[in-house]
Amino acid sequence: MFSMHNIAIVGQPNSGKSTIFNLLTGMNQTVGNWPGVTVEKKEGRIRSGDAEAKLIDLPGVYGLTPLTMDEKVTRNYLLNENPDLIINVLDGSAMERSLYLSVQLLFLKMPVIFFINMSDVAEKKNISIDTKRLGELLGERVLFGSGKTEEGIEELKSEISEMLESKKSVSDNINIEQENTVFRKINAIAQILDSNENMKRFKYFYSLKLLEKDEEIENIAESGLGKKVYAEVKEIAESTETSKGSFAAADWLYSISRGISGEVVTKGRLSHISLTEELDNIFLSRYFSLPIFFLAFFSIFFITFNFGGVINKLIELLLHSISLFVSGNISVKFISDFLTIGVIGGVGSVLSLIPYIFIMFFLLQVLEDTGYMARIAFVMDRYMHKIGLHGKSFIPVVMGFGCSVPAVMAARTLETRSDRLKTILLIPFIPCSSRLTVIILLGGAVFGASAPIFTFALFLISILMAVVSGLIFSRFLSKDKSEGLIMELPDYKTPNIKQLFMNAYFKVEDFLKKAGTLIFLISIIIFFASYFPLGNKGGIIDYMGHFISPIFKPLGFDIEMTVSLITGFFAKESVVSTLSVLYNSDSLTGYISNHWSVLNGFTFLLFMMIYIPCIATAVVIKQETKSWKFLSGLVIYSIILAYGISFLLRSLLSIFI
Amino acid sequence: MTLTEIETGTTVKLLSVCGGGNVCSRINRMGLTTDSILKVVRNDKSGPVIIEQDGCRIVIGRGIASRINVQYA
Repeated sequence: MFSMHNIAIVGQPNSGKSTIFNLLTGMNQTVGNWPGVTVEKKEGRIRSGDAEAKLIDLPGVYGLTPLTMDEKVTRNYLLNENPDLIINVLDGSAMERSLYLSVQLLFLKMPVIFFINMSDVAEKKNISIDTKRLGELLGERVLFGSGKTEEGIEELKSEISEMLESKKSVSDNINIEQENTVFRKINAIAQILDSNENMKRFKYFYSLKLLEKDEEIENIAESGLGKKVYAEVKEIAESTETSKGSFAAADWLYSISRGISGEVVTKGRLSHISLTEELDNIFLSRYFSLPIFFLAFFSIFFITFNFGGVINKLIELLLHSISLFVSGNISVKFISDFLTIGVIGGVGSVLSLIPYIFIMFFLLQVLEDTGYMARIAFVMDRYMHKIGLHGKSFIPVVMGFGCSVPAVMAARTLETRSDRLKTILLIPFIPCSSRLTVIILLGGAVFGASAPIFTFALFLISILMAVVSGLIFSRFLSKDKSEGLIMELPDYKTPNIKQLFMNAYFKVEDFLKKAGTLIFLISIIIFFASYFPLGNKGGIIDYMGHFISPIFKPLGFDIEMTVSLITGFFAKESVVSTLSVLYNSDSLTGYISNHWSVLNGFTFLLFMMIYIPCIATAVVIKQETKSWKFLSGLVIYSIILAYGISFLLRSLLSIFI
Repeated sequence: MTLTEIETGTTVKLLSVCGGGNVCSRINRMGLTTDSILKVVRNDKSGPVIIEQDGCRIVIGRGIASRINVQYA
């Protein structure tokens, strides 16, 4: 029986690894992740000859020491899943650094193909690489190409099938020709590990990591080898001949990378200032950096809402005519109501979000792929410090404007747990695109001509709440200060349009799978709950509304508003669909502009923006923090904050209106 | 001298990194180890420092930069 091969793609962040993955798998992939960096494991299928293989895009890592969640995922996959082949993508314009990871991969003793990416960039930078010599030094096949121009991809494909078919065995020793203390220690420890069944497979890798005082591996070794043998290993590892201690190993790895790089890379003189330098002089300049940053984000919102709005109008028109057709042809009131209000209304709430999601993620990916996203960390670092975070936290926070779920997940790229927690807890207060859609849709109805001012005010108040919450959390939650920012600024690049479309498409697909079905189901449930047992206005949901509405009396909410806030917990967009089902009016916006006062509308929208994150966000917060305490604390805090600030501003506003 | 004291445009050699936690490893794996040669691309009086090493630009928060000891190369 033929078993499916597993291939893992490994590379450093910004090595262009994901592009290579996309080129190899095409549309043949399942993505569970959201924009920005590759956080989730992406899987795809690749045909090699008659066989099919599974290709896994592992999160980008600088090395195999697990400091971040990404690095844990990648290392654990390599050690536990034992892939049949590793494709290591190297950045051709930064070989020294790229090789740091490659050399560590050699210690795993697994079949590897090294693919040097960005030949076009390397050429522009006047860098040439002797791939033949590099192959000799690494003892594995080295290919050269570019994800951008698609050069070398065919060769990579045929090399993959060749490697899988030949089942080439990997030699048992490390072919690094270096007489060195660290290397001697590694070999000595590897010899001891060789006698242990469980550690034998990765003896060289384990030895290397033991020298680096890698806690995880130390635990494995201690329990696997027993106290006596482990003490022997420890003695070898800690016998110091240099003052560097555990950093000697990392330094040694770098000296190897530097040595190899020095031997195979020839750097020509650069006659001109690079484009990246020139652009950074503008984008990061003292006076223009902030205006450019605000302009970039304003453009994203402007394009998303204008463009998305136009497409939305078309969708609404289409759904409206279908509704008219249905109610004109079906005479049974209940069934026609069910179809128009429940089904078409439900589908409509899902569909109306798709243009926004597609465009927003498309544009965020443009920022990411061009390299500008990383610059934002530099620009925002000094401001983020004021709320106890650093510049890198800003990227997840920015994603929060799109959707809190991917934003919370993106916090994984932060190195320390306290940074991750503080960032995650702040994200639900960032007005996400679904909340923005609700305030834009309902705001237009409530505020009429002054809608832009009111909705923008709501938007700003929400951000202010995020800042205030950030200050509170960093003051009370964690005493340890943020370790600080350290990240690469990739070269500016022209993004690949095809890849941008693919990426946005997968985000929409993911949204439909996860949130879309949920929103649709809620609309159906709300319809039934509002219809049974006593017909329209006599449903279960009205009783529920009656029961809790006294709490919201001081805020001026009617029963329908109260109920919509309950369903809003499932997905914030369903606030709109619930209201439209419950008010049972031909035009929701028309009904609202006649029945809601400006004061009530403002209070309601403000409350809706700040109270509890939606259920999907709550679920990922629980997953990422692994703590019910944080989640429940956050929920309670957000409800109190929402109630308090709505009540306060309502009282203030009532003086003027 | 620490990295924060180096003026824009100067090339320096990394001597050591002081500090506990993961700071050392985080700096190391970005390619910054003992004897690395780096160029300070941007250093204002506040905010992060940008350096260039092996053709890569790296942003280092001011806190971390103040823990990196360097000398003129």
